[in-house]
Amino acid sequence: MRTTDKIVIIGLLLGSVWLFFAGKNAGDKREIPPKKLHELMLQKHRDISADELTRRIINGDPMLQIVDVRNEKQYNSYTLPGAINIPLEDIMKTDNLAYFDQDVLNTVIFSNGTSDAQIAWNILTRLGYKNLTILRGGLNNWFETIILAKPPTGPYDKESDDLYQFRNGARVYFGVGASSETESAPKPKVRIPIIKRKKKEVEGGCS
Amino acid sequence: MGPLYPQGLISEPLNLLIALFIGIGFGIGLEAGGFTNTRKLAGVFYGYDFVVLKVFFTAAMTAAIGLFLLDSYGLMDIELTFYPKTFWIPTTIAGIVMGLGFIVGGFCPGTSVCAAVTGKIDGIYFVTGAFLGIFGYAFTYEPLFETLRNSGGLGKVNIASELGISDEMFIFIVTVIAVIAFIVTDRIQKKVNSKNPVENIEELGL
Amino acid sequence: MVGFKLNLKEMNKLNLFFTFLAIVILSSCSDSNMRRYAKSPDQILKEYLNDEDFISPGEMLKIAEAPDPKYHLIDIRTPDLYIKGHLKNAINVPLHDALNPKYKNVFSQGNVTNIIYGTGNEDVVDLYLMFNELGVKGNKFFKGGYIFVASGGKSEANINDEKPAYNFAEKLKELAGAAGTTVQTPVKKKAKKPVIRRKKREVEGGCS
Repeated sequence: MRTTDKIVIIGLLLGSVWLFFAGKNAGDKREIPPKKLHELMLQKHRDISADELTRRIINGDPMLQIVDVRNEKQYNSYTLPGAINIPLEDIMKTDNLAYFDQDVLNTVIFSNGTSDAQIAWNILTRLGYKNLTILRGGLNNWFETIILAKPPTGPYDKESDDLYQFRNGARVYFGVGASSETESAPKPKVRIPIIKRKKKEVEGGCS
Repeated sequence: MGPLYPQGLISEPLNLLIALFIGIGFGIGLEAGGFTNTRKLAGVFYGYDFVVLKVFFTAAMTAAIGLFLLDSYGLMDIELTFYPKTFWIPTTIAGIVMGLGFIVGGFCPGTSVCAAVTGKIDGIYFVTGAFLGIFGYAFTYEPLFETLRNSGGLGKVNIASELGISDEMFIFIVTVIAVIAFIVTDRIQKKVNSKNPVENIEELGL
Repeated sequence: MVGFKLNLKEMNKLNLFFTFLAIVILSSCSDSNMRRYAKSPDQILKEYLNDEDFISPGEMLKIAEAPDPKYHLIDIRTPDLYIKGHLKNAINVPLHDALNPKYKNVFSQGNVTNIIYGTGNEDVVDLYLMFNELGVKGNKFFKGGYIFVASGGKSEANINDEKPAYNFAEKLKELAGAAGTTVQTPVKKKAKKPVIRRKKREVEGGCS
């Protein structure tokens, strides 16, 4: 029996030492594997269009959380209604990560373009946070699409026309008159989303 | 991949079926290791046969090392595995009671069922007694045991984080302790057996 | 009833066999480089903020005009766009296929540097992230897009997508003035620091 004992002992010791080399540091425990992350990156539904986001803002979607990853100066100059500012370089600070540590709200990340938002999305998704989307085209594209909306050219097409009417109406919401009307901008009701903490306490164990 | 059932990757019937096969393997292992024999089991307390200690330490360390390795390689998510909350008072008392039962009866719960199923009369008595105890506890829980059972709650305690060391370090330390335990108990076993030889259980045909 | 006993020798052999199997399985898993990240999130962030691995429009135009054997051009747009027009000597590796092992030799070529371009910044930044995370080296990225390069730098394309296209506040005021409305300043959320919950997913478990 001595030899099996010895083999077992050596095996266990080797195994426990192996742990040190295979081990990832504690932070990795929550990360999703690279393969899964890259699959998610190539999916198109991590984008949200300017029109869709505008719709949600105007409807006062309580599940919406908007994050502006530009620097403070740009944020203070102009930002989307209800957006919170988390500059890209600060995205990994624990305080800021807390905004993403929930699976109730739908978070839309935006910057002037998309590169910065992509980086933020990538890092946060890698760390295991969910319900994150990127504003397609960023603030630049949003501004051109909504605020600078141009009437459709060419033969009448209901869909294009509806879209233009929607954007025109949205302009009013954001404080820019539609065409030559002089009514004052309606004060938007900013609803602060109630973060419902869904604690699923499952009873377990026995004996 | 992770633990299959908590993530909904397999259905409950399949989960139970796998559990059945694991149980069968467990029973085979116990019986093949001679764990249905009370004299072998109680040997831990008298010092002439430390097989119980060796087997359980080996099993625990294999499971721990295996689980954490699988976790490191992404095959498992250890955060999804369950371990119960710690209530140190009732656990200590129950440990003492179980230890007494083990020495007196020669079985622990799992091995007793094994022995009962192979037809050993003492195993059957042990299992009956265990059931009486379980039902007795269940029916007298509210008046007698509820406060005791909920006392000393410490929440989910992870020893490694409590001591401030990493999981790997903790497992390594316990492995080293296990190895030392193997060596020491071997010496004790030899000494006890040379002084007071107990016939090899297998040769007794028990 | 007598319990059956496996012959000691057989049990040893069985044990060794299973241990060996376990080791083989586990070690084969570690080889796959798709499983582990080469850089931590902090590193990725820092390198991106330092603009490492990105080349400027000027450099890109130079390389596109004068083919240099030191550089390989790779076009990561979809095949239909590539066929319509691509830079001279550029090969096509569509983004959605770029991690296919068959392209492994294309992207890690040792002494040759790959210059990667696409439709603009979106696809290029995605590949940049994927390669950094997997530790693929020897690639430089251009965010400006094909149209900019093909036009010799003359197209109106915004080559730095993170530059604000307008001074939003001013432009809004201007438009509002024209329409006779007043722009309300966007309500900025007073960032309430949310309580950091340790989200312990309580999993039901068993006992012994």
